[in-house]
Amino acid sequence: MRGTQPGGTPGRLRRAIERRLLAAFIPGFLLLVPALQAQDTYPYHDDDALSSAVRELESRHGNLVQVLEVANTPGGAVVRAVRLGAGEGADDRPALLVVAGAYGPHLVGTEVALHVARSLASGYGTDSTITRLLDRTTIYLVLAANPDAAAAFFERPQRERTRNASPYDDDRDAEVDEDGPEDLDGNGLITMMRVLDPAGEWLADPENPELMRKADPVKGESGAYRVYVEGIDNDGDEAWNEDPPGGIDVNRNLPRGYEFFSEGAGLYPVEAPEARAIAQFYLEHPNIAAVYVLGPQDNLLEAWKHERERGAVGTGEDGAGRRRSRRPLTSVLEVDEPYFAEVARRFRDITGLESGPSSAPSSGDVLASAYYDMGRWAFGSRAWWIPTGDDSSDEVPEAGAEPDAAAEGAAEADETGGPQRSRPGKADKEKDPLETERRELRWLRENVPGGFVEWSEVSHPDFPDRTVEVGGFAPFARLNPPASELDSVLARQERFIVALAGLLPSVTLRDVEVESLSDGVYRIKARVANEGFLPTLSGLGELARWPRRVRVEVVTDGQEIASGQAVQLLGAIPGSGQG
Amino acid sequence: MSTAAGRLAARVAGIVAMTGLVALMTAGPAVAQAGALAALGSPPDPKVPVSWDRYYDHAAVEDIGRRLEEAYPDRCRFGSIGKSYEGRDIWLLTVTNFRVGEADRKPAMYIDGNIHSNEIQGQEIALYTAWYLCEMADRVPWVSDLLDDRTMYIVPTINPDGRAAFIESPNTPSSPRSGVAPRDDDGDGLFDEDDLDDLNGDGHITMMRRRDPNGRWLVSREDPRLMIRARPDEPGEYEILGYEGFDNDNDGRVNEDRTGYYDPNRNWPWLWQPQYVQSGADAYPTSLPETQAVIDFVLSHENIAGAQTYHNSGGMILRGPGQAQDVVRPSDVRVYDRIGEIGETILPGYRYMVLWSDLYPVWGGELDWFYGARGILTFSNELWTSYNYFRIERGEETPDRHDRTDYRFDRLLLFGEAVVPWTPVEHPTYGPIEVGGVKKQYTRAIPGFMLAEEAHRNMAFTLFQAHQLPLAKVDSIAVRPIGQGLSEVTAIVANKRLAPTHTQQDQDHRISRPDWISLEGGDVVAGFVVTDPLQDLAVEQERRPARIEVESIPGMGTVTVRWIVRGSGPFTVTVDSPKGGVHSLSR
Repeated sequence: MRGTQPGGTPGRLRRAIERRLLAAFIPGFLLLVPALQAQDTYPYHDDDALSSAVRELESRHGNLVQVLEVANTPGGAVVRAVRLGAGEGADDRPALLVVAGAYGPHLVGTEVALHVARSLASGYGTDSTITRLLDRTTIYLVLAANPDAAAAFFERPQRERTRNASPYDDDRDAEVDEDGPEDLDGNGLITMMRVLDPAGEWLADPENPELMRKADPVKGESGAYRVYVEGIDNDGDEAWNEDPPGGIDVNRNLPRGYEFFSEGAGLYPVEAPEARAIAQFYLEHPNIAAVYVLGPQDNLLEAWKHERERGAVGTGEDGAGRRRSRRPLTSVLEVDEPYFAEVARRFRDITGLESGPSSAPSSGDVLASAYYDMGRWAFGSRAWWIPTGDDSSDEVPEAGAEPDAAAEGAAEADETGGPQRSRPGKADKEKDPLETERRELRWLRENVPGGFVEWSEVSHPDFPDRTVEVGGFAPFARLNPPASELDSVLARQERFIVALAGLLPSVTLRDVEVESLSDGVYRIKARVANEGFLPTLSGLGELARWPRRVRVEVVTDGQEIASGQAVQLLGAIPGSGQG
Repeated sequence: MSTAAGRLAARVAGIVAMTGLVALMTAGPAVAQAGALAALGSPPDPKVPVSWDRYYDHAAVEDIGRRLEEAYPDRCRFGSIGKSYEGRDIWLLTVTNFRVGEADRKPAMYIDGNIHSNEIQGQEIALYTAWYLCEMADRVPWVSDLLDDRTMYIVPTINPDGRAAFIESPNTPSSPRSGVAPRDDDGDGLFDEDDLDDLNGDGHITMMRRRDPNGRWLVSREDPRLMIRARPDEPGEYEILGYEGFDNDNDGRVNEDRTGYYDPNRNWPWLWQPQYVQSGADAYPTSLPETQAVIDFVLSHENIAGAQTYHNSGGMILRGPGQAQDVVRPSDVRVYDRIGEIGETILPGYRYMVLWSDLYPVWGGELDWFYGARGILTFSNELWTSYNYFRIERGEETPDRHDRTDYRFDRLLLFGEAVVPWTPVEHPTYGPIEVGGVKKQYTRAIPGFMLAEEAHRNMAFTLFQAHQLPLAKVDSIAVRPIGQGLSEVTAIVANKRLAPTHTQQDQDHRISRPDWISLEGGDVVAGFVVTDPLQDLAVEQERRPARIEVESIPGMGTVTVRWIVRGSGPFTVTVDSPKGGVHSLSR
């Protein structure tokens, strides 16, 4: 309960009775209403379909595919990783980890990962590029890192849910999950709800009256609506849908940038078994050199940059002789910046994607954690977005364009209001705050029937004397492509993932020289080279503890080492054949 | 305690130390000795005799815990909060008066120790606390009252594996600090492959020295066991080669991949930073099962209002924050300061300090998680201080580079038992060298004859904190008929202690639910919080008026609530505070 809404107390009893009646009616009447987001518009795999798809892959390509079960979710699902790697020793080869679906509503990521797994598995042995790649390189794909949340896509009513199924007391009233949304208009979707009220802070945009925005009192505008997530106030605390079922957003539960006390973050980082499984996966797979994360965080349209900060990295050493940073890093290291830039350039080249929404803010997300916590090369993309068009290629969509339901006493604007929004752009008074939404509205109307639900009046037990309408963007529609777009998304992403796997470091011994110095004394020289593109370690990987260094050992057969070390550990070896 | 009884107790415990459980099981309760005058502060006839002049292992803790539970079933329950990496139970002693109230609803103090493997006496302090409370509650009314009002959750060691490693293996006073889960410290793909080595097989890891006319170290004139650094212009005669060991993995470095290594006290989720910022952080917060067990326990015991986590050494009463950019809220600082100030009186030679500014900055420390994430008032005492050697304040000693306080204390009071004299040994790489130096039980751990006092004083400090945790009581109820069958019921709810029912940190981040003050005995028409009793100003709570919600009851403060009720009584008012306890009064 954050910021209760002043409201009339009369009629409390009547409302309570109506609430009970409504609750009694809803289940029966939902079954009759087909969801608008039909399977043929969004031909996505639910958990059962995913499960049988990977099992089939494993049984068909036993020499190449292994399915690893890495976590059991609070909702009873299983988080699976598919390992693609030829024969024995796959866990010892340089590896790419692909993580999809940590942000639950991002179903397209899961489709990409499954598609890549299938395509590479069937290409191994027939396609020479794929065969060579999987002989030298291993690819792990976490298909759906937050299956509890993704399941909401296949449930009715359908709603965007970012959290796993662990119970959670969002409003700290000692009751758990007691105030979730309801499908008031019976269309099988949870959208938004607007209540006509002169005291409200929201108004319908004059140009696109279906879009809501905050009234700006400085411009003399006055509000006309209160805006909430669709539903009733089940616990009678004058906050709407503030404690819905669900606990932790996996994509907000990793250490880097973790925000205590924020919605969906859980009680502490790595609390969710799904997040813990990801963190643990790095530990158990030191061969992972790079990570590709499909989700709302991006560093391929706009590469991560180094920001100079005084004293960020010191020259102190820890017990094992490694350099240490004196304080938390605020940006990528200078030595890593060119590689992030170059991989981003190749991404744009390969996919043809030039512009899109900027990255969602980083806060306990899988992408930032892969680099900053785990020291791996890390790249991320949304894979798909509603086209921005050339005219807006440089525009940074505004944050806060969504109805700020939380401020109105209804939590989870993120969940029902749409995809994780972009970070705020530069303040610009002339800028249209609804620019992104107008474009999305236009595109959905042209391409996805039902992608925007027109506002329609409902009778609402909590507001018996007011006009209440339900409508807004359909859940998932702005984050996931319809069938007509899906194939091209999958093909683009596959091209990039194959290319990225081809950039991994690959060490080799070169120029081994044995020179006789005198009787029985030899000088042995060898050059260790990295034939891949990426250095064996990122700059951060050298600082961080977990990525291993290259170990070079001289194995003798009774000979004695007169000088020099039998075992040497090497730091980052740059790529492109340098040694 | 009479000498004879003392000897008996010592003998019983001595047997235990040697042969473990069996001996303790067969030892009968000690009988109070006739003709002895009871000394104050100690039970004259303990039902569970324990000698507080040694360091107990895992089995012995279990035995003491079980015997306490058996001897005092209404005062002590023995259990476990989870398993360690190697599968040992992390023992828990819950001490309270189980006949009064509900243990898990009383305001509670959480106590642990030994998070660093080598910092062993925290366990004995914690265990002594459980033992003392059980044995003395019938003799000392203050103790009895404390157990009526409070629950003490005592986890003697949250690092039983590391403790076992410290006790059972040759070690220095500082090894291992880490727990024992293997980690690849040097990044070569091998785990814990280059540990310390007891070169001369004497059961101690001491220092290595080699005679070298160009060395920079000298032998002390005062004590031939002590090495001192040569002055910049002074010739030396030895070089010091570090702790005993050799290059087990042949990589040119000695002892660089030891047991562990991670720091269990850098593994907590609050302000956690990775290894390249905070050494010892481990791979991610809560990666260690022991961290996870404590977190699970604390999250499932919302009644924990205060905590103490015992370390060694240095004579410090530490509070957070561990970083400059973190804050302890101002009104919480006032509570900390008062307890810390009393602590400096209870613990001569100890100083009350702020972790980051007075000691060193820490990312991901235990005490910061307790306060930052859970709003729990938490201290960490660094047990044992060099003040205790000769009770001379820091800086008031006569400096003598040829003598050192700990070596002098060893000569004069321990008669040389604490230091291994230099002994020749052949090193596989360095050739003929000597090994010698302080034993692991010295400089950080406490000599036996001083342990009980250290335990008692630290316990007294922690009990003072426990006493000052919030205690919510319905103080008074006034009923006034106002006509038409209605009554106005006014209740004053008081917190009788220093700490508020919600710390400022708890309130600011809405960590625990509000306190509930409810009325039974009539139909509530309206409910109010009286914000100014003298001017009779009140704020109505429209929702659920029979259960008034208040954000906190301040330390030594009151909250006044009022109801308009249909009926004339009798009425019962109950305060139900997550951290202030549950109390009812009827009228």
